[in-house]
Amino acid sequence: MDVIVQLQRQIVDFTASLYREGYVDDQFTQLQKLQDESSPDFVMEVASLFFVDCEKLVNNMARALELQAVDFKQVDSHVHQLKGSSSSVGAARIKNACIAFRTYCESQDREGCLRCLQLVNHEYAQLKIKLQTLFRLEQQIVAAGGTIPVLQ
Amino acid sequence: MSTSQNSTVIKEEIFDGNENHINNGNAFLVLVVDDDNVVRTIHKMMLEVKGMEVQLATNGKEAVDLHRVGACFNLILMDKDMPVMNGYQATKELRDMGVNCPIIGVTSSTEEAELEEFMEAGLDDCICKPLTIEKIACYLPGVASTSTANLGDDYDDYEEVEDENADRASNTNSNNTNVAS
Repeated sequence: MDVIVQLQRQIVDFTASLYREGYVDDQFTQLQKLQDESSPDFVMEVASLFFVDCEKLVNNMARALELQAVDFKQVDSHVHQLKGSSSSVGAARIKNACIAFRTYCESQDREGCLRCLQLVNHEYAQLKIKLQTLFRLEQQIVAAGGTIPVLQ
Repeated sequence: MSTSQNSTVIKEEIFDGNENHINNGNAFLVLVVDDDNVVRTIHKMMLEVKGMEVQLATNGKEAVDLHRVGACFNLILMDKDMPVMNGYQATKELRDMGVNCPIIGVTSSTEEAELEEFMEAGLDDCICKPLTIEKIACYLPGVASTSTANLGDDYDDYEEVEDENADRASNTNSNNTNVAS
């Protein structure tokens, strides 16, 4: 029981840090609330889909920005899509990076776009590590027979 | 699920003996139209936990095709920017076909002009992502709204749109110094 309590405290502290540091926002809480016995891995599944989505879109942006004649509308379209999916999963820092990115697409600033792409990539990598840590903790709790606390 | 595979089933379900549209018993059927798999998955789950039945379409053309073969929905959630056929075109086409259920635009666009144009296609409402049940509670049966948002606006989240535009303006200013090479 002590192990479960300890793990639960760890999860609560870790999740609180995700919010405090702006990695996730309230939308992430909404996803966690959708998770129950009938769909125990919902958040992890959505996160996996998001990571695949994110990687694909980042690669598309990178390829588009490599071209001699950059199609900024195309880049913007990829950023717009990533903004939509990141806001839907509660990935706040990625969403905010996309908002900034779009301003550089609008002003057709290639260098600005490349810096933003770097930022998006960085935020994605960070979030992936954080969420994988969270999911590992959750799996440990479940394996120990405990329940996953949801931060309100 | 392919449209052609299920068209017969859909037709049998939606017409009674007097050719009146019925809808799969008493299920409240929502069509979620979005090209993003992540968004479709989340919206589907959000609605299903509230007891709605959900069908998915990956672009506007799929949504229109479903209606052409006789599908009937109580509510449509329509993304704006999609390949093949976007939300504006799909909404216009559905209205021209006589589809009169509520169609709510769900978009990550924040440009006022774009949102207004989207509304003009025939939407009942337009919502900025992320979608929450609170934002569409008034369109769902048996779902109490806890939102204090003014539902009298032409589209919800107008203030959120303005906030985000302000964020973008300040991001531009700060990123000129912060996003440094």
